[in-house]
Amino acid sequence: MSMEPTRSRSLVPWALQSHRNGAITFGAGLALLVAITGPSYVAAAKAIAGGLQTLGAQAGPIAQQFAFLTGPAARLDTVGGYLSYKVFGSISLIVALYAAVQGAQIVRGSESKGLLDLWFAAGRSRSEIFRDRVLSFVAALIAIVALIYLGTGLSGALSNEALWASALGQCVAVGAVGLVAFAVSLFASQFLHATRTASGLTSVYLVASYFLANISDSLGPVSFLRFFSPFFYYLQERTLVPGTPFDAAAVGVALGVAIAVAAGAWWLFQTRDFGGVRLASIGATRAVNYTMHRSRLARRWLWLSWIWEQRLALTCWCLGIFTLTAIEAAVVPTALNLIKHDHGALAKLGSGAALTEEQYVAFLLAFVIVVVASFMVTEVAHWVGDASQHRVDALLAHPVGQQRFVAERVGALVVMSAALAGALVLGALTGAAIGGYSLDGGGLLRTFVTALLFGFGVGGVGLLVVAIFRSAASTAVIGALLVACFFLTTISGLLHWPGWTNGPSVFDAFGSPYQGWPASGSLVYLGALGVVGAAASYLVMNRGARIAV
Amino acid sequence: MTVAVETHDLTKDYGQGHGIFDLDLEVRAGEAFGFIGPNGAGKTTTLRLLMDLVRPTRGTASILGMDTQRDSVAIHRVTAYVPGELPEYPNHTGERILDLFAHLRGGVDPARITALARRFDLDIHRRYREYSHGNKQKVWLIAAFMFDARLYIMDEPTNGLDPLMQQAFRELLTEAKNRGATVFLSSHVLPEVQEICDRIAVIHQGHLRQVGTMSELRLSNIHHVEVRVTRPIDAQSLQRIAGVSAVDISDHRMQCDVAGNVGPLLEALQPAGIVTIESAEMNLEQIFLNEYGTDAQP
Repeated sequence: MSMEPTRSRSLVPWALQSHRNGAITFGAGLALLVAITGPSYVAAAKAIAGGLQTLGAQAGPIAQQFAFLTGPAARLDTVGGYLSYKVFGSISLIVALYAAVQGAQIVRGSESKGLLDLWFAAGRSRSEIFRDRVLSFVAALIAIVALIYLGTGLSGALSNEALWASALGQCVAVGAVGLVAFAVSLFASQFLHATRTASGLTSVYLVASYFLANISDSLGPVSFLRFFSPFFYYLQERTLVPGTPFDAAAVGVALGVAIAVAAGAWWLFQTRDFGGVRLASIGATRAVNYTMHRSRLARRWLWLSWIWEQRLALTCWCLGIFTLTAIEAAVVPTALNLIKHDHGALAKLGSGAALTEEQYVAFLLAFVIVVVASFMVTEVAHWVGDASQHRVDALLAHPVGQQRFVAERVGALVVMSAALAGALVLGALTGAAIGGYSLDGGGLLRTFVTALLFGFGVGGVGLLVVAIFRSAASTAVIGALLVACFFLTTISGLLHWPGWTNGPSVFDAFGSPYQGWPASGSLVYLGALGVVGAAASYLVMNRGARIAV
Repeated sequence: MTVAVETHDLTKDYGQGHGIFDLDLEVRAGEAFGFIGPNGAGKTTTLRLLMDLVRPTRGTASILGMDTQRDSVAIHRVTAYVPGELPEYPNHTGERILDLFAHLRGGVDPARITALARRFDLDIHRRYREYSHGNKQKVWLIAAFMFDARLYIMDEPTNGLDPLMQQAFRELLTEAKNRGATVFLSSHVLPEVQEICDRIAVIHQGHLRQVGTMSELRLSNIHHVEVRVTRPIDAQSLQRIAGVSAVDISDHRMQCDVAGNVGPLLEALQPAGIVTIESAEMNLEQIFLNEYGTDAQP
């Protein structure tokens, strides 16, 4: 009988399967967004005399004012130029954030679930595990980018503009940014036990570097910082804009960085304990300590305990929102000056009035609310984790009724939403102080209240989704709902759909509170989503066959 | 007699034969009740139904006279539960976990937790993720024993504990019983069930098969008999005897299981010249294997 051990099988097929649904849904959603945006723009152009030429000339100066949010605007008289300005900047950031979440998950996430021990015990070496997991993500990323490419080509075909060739370079650049984000998060996760902290920190870096790349021209002596932003290399590859060549060197640098950082993560993974961190300090051996102390933090309130549990992640998100808003607000005067010098009269809007700092800030505060929505998606993932790791079981087996459980969830939700809304407002205030202008207190208060209601509303829907699905599908569902809302808000105006079609969108309900209270119906809608979502989650929980997972 | 746990027609049907069906059970106040059965028999489902963590397809259950669904919070105030699937709190220390649950329960003396930690030799200042499985189990045992519960519902409570800690657990359970508390536990450690429990229920494929004291289960069941003889034995004649099963004959040695009276067996063996007879009461594990086959792991 041969004693030759059988070779263990690669994890790639399994890992690919685990990415399959998420990657296809994610890629298809983005592809759909791109596919519809092009024809919508053309349809809008047809409605005015002069078509795309006129629309491009009118929209160009306005778009340029928001370049620090979206990337440079050029050749808006073409569908390629418009897609590059309108959606591709956001897509590159969204793909990067997705990759950051995956980068933290593939090794550290599997490790915390105990899977790595099993794979290792099954005969896979650390290098093989690492390689298999990385390759499977790369394959998933290629699928996502391919879908975006297909969506872009389709968008061009539906708009009578051939984009198949020019889209390729820009899609490759989106993939390169995703790889850098993935590698950075993978690297960060080697130092941290919590995947959410690693992906949160990476997300802060990504969001900050996104804006840094967009405003790098106005950074003066520190403009060299742009080289540390993956989005700077992406911006060199805006091949959808007619006349922009493919810059192989820029993509090469981004890929080189991704490979180097991933190699660093591989080395760290090789030299640390499973379940450990590279820089863990080894304290002096101490005596066994049996003594129980009362906590300084009162844990009789679950909401407080839950917030305390995820304080680092919440801090990262608040810091990210604060940094993002502060950077945006701080560069507003510079951006206005640039426009004034470069475009003169073009800086004027249709009304004839030049944009003020406050109008700018109103716009950017409405933009940052997307980050609050993203936090709520991660919170839903956290609730799913509470259930799947039997923490909900443990709580409900104590004298904690389902009513109290849901009420405490709502309490945590309100406090976290308030923290995020506070970070938003503080960021705007700080940015305005740096930029040397002032903001309206009433506008900031309205923004705070509406952002709080927004977080509460989205979270309430999240509670209901988790009560219904009780699995990772909950995260996909709440993500899909938010993407659909964002999509509705983006497209309905362009397509001149009736107002009610945009009604369900939470982004539309949020509106632009800095400039004025949203319609009372919108505020009630956001609040009702929270209250009804929480109440419905209680009913589903109470009447369902499974109370806890 | 006061009833601590009572179920009527309690059913949780997960489909394809999985779940628990038509369970009628009474656990008396103050007794230790063992629940044994193979993997997937429905033990954990029953315990989770009692804790209102899952809801029955039909039937009812009550604990200490209270409805498990309607009065679940009141029940949980006086019930300690050790889950089979341990909750994960990777970033918490043992102390923080116990602190959280002590606060939720209210009125827990920290000194009692300290004493329990000492008894279980658990450093509660280490992070949960650093604990071995046995140490994680200790956290939930401490959480269960940190107050004077009237009922202890425990799913595989000694899973991962070393023999010394199993002994510590048994002592705590005995103390609880002496206080008048009721214990309802499922276990894979059958000698432990034998040692701790006053009565035992055997569950198989979602159905209750037997309930009784150890002596009742022994009476209703089987002795394992081993006989040495001088002459050949007619195996077929032995198998025809009522109550005799699992006959194995080799080299003037015969083994079999006998349910009930062994007299007819001895009469049948007489012509073969009996040299020695060994008869042993089957323990719970053997009864279990005999009843449900060698592939039915308890």
